[in-house]
Amino acid sequence: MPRPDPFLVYRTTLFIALTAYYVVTTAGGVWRVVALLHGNDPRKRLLRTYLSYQLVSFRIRPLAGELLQIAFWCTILLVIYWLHGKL
Amino acid sequence: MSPPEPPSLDPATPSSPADTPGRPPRASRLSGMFDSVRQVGRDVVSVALGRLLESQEKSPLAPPEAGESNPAAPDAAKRVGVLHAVAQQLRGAADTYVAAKLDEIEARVDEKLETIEARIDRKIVELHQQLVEMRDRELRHRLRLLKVTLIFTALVAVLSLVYKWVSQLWQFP
Repeated sequence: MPRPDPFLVYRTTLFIALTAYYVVTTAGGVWRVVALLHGNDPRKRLLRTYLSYQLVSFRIRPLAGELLQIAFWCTILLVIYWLHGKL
Repeated sequence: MSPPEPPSLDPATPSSPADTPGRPPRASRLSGMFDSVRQVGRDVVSVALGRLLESQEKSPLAPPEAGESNPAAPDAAKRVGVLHAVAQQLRGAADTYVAAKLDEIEARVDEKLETIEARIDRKIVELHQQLVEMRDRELRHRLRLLKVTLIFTALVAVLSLVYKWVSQLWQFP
């Protein structure tokens, strides 16, 4: 039986752990938001309307710097993935 | 006279009855209330003057029945007429006074309500601005966390790439 590569084991374990963490965290957050906004209470309706207004009135310009940096790092990641395929 | 209380901003307790849906506007309800108060004042004055006139008719000064030969009859009728005219003038003066006072009270109440509404509107605008700032701050924070995660992912990917390259060199020198 071939000996497993420790770096590959580390990389796979890290990937699985982080993916599970993000899935659980995101699902919990979405569930809490849905539970908060669910219902026919007039206050809930007002809250939903106000949040809709917040979404509509959202502007990207104040966050353009952060979004550009994220796009840059995503590009770097894609290039590294492509280089992985080349090797 | 006690100082006016500040408006309540607690959402659990309505700040004014006009804020609750399904009711007529505050101005129309106030004018309706003032109209009813004015009508009650008119009724009270009318009833009081009517009783005064009835007591005058039943009093010994009341005019005698027609056909009786009473020398004091023209004087009594004249007195009743004068009294009636005075009563009418009194009624008109009282109505005018009550109406003027009610208008004054209504104007003061309207002014106070407008002041309170302006303060509530200013507070709502202030809260909205604070919420917008909090939303932008929270989004910026989340995006920063996402960026840090991406940087570390790229670092691990570069490490993996280097490892793969070195291992290939090691296997095939």
